Amino acid sequence: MAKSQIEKKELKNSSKIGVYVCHCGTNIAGSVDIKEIVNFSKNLQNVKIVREHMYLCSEQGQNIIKDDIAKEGIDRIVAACCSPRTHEEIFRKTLNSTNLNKYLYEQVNIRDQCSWPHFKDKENSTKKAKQLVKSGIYRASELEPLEDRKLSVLKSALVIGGGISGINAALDLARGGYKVYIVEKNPSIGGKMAQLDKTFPTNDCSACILAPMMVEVSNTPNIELLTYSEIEDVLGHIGKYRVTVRKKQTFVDWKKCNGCGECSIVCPVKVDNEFNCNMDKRKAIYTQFEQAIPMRAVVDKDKCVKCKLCVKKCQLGAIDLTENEDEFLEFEVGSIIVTTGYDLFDPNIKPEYDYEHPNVITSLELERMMCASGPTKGEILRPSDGRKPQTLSFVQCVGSRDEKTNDYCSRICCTYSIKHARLLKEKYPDMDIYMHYIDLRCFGKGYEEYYRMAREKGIKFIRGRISQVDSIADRLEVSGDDDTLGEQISVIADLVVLAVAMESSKDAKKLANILNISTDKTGFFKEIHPKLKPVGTDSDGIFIAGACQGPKEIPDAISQGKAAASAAASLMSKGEIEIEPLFAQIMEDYCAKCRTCESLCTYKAIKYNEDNKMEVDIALCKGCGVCGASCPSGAIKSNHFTSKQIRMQIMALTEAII
Amino acid sequence: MKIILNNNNKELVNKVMEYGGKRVYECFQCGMCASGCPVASDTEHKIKRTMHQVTLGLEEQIMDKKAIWLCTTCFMCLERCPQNAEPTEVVFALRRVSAENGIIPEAQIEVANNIYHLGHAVTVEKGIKLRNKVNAPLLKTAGSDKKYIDEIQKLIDSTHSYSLLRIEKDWKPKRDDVIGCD
Repeated sequence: MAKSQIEKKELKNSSKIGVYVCHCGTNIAGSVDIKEIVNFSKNLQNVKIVREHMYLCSEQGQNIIKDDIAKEGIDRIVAACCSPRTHEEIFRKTLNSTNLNKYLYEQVNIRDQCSWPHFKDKENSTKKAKQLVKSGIYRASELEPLEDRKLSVLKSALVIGGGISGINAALDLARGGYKVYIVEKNPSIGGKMAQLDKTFPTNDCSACILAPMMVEVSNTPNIELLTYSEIEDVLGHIGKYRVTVRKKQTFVDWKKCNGCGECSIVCPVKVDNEFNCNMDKRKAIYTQFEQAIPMRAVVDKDKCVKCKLCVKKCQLGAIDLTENEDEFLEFEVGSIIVTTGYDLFDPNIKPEYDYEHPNVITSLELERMMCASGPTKGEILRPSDGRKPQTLSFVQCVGSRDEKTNDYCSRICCTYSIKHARLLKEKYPDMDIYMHYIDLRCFGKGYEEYYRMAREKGIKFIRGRISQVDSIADRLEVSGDDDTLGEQISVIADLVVLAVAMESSKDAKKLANILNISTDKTGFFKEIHPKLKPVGTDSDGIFIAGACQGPKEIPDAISQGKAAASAAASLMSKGEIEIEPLFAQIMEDYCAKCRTCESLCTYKAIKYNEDNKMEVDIALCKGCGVCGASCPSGAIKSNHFTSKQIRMQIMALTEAII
Repeated sequence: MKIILNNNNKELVNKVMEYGGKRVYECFQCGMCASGCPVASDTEHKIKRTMHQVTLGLEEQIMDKKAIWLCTTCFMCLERCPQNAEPTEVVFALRRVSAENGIIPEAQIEVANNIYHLGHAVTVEKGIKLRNKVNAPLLKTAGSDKKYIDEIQKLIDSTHSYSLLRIEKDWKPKRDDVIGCD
């Protein structure tokens, strides 16, 4: 108690602090009184210079800081501006170009904390800003110079998920000379794109543009393809992750199997075919689809009746139905790219659309029907009676833009439904096609023209969400509203196609836990910054790309795959990286070896070593401070967030400001 | 009233396209035509709705209201339409379809007869009197000489407008003193 009272009177430290208040145009100055902040800061202890600037991060702004360091002898910098997430690195670099240590910099975020949330209340916004700036100044007095640490980085990468995004990421890295492991849970790579018939806006055959890339993956020597496999565990840190992969038992020796398919022909067990959205059957021993890579058979363990017909049929002797434990594979990589894709919304959640009815189908089911290798060999037939439908209704936004399910727009449904409608109209010009939409979002290059051509073909676009689908005799009544007519409408249709939302993969949470990365409220993996770092995650060295980050069409998924490959490559290319020294340090003399810290560390960064000492793995430590806070003897110091620094901050925040 | 869409009736849209509204499918219901329409606020003529009704084949709805005849054909919508769907042309086409079905408002029949017999959509008798009064020379108009009127009649006779527009041989202009140039 007595101690903190002494500290309250004055800062012991006699540093020379420069305080720089940024207007950020009107972003901050619009609702924070900059002059008042400047005048207030001038009177605080240890503050030598206070300046304001319209855009502090501009070259001119940075030069002012440099000049003050050189000419005025400033040895601590406090910038009251925007978010350290985007700008801390910039100003640290500014300090780095002078002789001042870059960790003698403190950033106070008076934009996100003051001007933005309190834009209607300038007086209180300014008051809060003063308090925060004061805490920044107090903390700055106690800052200590720190040195970055160097870490070596392995020149190999893991790509989780072999869809179009992952394939592109892997190929780019492999072409650049890096060793790449692809882990894919299905027997083949290709992902959702392999299920598509044609792709917008050019209507080229999906398999024709995807298959060559898949073949390239299998032909690239420095790509190791691990399909029918799942990530079991990932330990380690940026530059050196230790990955454990579970290889599910295939019951087929892939070194012998040549994918001839004889085994599937003799197999008597018929199982719903997931690849064709369960609209037809596959066998218990099967290859996933016609262009599968690798083209190898697997046995569906749960469905096989062990009749051994396949074993007898296989001339290569590749099949052995003896059940074994799954195989585990371990290897090390320098970086990880997650491209696990998405799942589709289950339309049963919206009973009003009567998905139970055989003639109400999802867009992916329609896509499989339209595909020449699909369950109907490219013919559109009503599942109920196998007849060609005369009238078709496309129902948009099923599970999207809906607070009850997913509040976001799934981005691709408008354009793929237009694609379906157009392809059908081209094939069956007499088919009557309706599309019920709330907004048509055809945002990509060439998509608007694609939509215009659909109108020209006579597809009827009706604005208004469908409220229900009912069966009338052997047809379906689609009830909705026509916004333009201002009337209720109902379409008597033969087939109803639901454009179901893209959702985060069901396994995303589990993988996020293994990798220590975050998901957002929709369950998709969270990028570190939505604009500036779209493929980065909060774990350095782990990147996300494609639809696992959010709904995306093929071009965007590919772009992100390539972006992630580029980010991983630039991380690995030098073979070593510098990391922030923001880790915990054990003060030997105080440590009682109680190992409380060890059990609490989320990152498994503290270990009791052979020398009977607590040891911090600085590459694993994120500097979160849990260990320091829990240490009963105060033996752990968190660099850059020392108890003293935090105490000063709290002191400033609790002192009343007049 | 709930509208049931249960057939693929393309008769109307095909006719509209044949009769000049050939870009009706370009419409994507943005509403720019209706928002600039000078008669929309005071009449039943809602051009955006009409465009949509054509593509849906709702012929009865369009024809029942006779709103297509209220268009002043100012061409504002046609000038501004971002998709070049040419709404005014669609209105013209719909009027042609309507006339074929024998549905033409009385006012239009009067105008047609005026043109057939006088060479003008409106009478100019009062204007001629005024000009005479101040000794101003008579203006040459489509109706100022019998030979011009003969040519107009020949043109109308040779098309089926003659029967569609119900031209009467012994027709007398009605509102001689009302319409004119004061």
